[in-house]
Amino acid sequence: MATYTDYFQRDIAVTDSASVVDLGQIYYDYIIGENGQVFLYGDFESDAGEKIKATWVSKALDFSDADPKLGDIFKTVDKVRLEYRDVSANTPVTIYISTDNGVTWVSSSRTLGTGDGKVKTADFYFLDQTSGITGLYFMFKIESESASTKFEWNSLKAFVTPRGEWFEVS
Amino acid sequence: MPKFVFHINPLEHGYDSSRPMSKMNPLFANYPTINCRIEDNRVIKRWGYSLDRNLGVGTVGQHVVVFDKAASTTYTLFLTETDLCKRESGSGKTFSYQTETYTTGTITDITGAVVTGSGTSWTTSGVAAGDYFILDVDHSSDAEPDTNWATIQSVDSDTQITLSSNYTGTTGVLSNTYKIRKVYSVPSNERWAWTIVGDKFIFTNGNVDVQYWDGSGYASALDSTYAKKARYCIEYANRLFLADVEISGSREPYTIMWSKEGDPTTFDPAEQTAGQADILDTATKITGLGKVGTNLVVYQEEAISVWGRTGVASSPVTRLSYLTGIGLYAPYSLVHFLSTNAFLGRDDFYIMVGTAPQPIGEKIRHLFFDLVDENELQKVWAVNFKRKNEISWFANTSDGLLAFTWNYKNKEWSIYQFDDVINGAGTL
Repeated sequence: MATYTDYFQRDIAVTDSASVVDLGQIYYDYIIGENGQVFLYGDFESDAGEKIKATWVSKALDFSDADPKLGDIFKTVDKVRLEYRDVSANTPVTIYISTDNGVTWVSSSRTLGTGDGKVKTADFYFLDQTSGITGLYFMFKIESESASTKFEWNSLKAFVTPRGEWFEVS
Repeated sequence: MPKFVFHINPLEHGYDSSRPMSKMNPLFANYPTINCRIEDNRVIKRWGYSLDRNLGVGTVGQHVVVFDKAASTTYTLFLTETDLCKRESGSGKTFSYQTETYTTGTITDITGAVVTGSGTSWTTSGVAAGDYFILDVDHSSDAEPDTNWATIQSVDSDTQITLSSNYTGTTGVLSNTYKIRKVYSVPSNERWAWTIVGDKFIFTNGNVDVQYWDGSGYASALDSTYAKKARYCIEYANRLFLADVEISGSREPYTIMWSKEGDPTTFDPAEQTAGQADILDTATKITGLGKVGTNLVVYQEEAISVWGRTGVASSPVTRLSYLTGIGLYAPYSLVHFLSTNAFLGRDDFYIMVGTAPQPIGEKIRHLFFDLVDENELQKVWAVNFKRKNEISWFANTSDGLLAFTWNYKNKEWSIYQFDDVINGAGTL
């Protein structure tokens, strides 16, 4: 029979039937899969061993937020710089650019980090692409697919060269 | 014009679907941003998961609940469409069934799939096809699912049942104790409701008489005479409140009932402190019960009424306010957080602020209602992952099952898509 004092120990070990739950067990959230799998849901890098594909997508940018004159001219993006905190070694990161509202994408991939916790930048180049980096509107996508790494993305910078006046191509 | 650098700095926001995409603030995310969340003004990977227990292929789990008994014993419970399970720990242990179980009499013979009993009342006790049979001698009760459980194909008489296939455990002429697990069912597209009152774990749905489990033995019906089926339940004023109940064989979707104070098993009207009330102001059914601050909230599809305590034992609650035109449209989208409720209405996500709902879905609702078909809206279910400050609304969308997730600390919206189809959740 528990005593009054025992109550205050329940965050250390909890009686669950006749046994004692492992330390920390009660602090997890749970989710339940379609075939009866009960999962601990929390600070894991995978979905029960399967890769998690994480994607951040920007709005369609014409860069007029920076200068209204940029809204009506062609632009070329040749480099994207990602500022991140290095929380895992060998984190796969791909940056995509689309100039057709996400229908097609041009990509540049890198494996980043040593896991030292420092804030760093990584440049993703699009110089060699034959299409897709000159346009009116640009969407950016950052993607990482992994079962063993995490990421923290702080900011994105697009290096933009203004071109000529935009005209509609039918 | 010279070359320039355009900054999206910092990546500090989740979704915003409240404006045309080209007119959004560039610091917000656009669809299909998936499996990212916002924390401290940066984008990070969403939570992952790891296998803890397996309740068996084909089992549809709905809730994980911590049942914290006053005597300091804490149980982790899994509520599936068919069973109440208790998580077991220790070497080789998995979980045990706490489902209502019939054990009267003994088994005298098992030949093939035919089981003969003595002192049993299988017909009159409500044992039914689809329930499960096992001999105690073959049963590892804390390492489920035991492969010897056999499905009952038919209940032939008070002393004979036929299994759907030959029994895999001990057979022949016997004198053994046994168990018949009287599995539950849940109406299609509905879910269990549960609460804890008077040191008892109480769970109910529209198919099953209200059940309770007090930490010992098996679950059983709460009060099969006066508290039959109910779709919703909650603890309030140290009583069990039920809603959308069955009375005299009929569904009463506008009725709430409450138990005797401190005793959720007593609904007998002769007991003057138990009672009931009908909410007939609108024709929309009750869809849930919640608590906001010190008040009880009764939700209907298109109405919300707030009730307070009277301090009078024979009429313990009184209605304080009644709002129409807005309500809890998806019954299982209701969650309790930070002493209030969040839920999905017909046109937006809401939280209760005092006695009135306040919309919170401005930045997600356009996207949400684009992705979720009208037929799927009422199936949306939610959970408050309180250690993460996140409420996730799970919805079948045109892009698969997605969890629309609102962080109530930073007010940001994210969308998660999991590798597995997620049917249930809980937080301990």
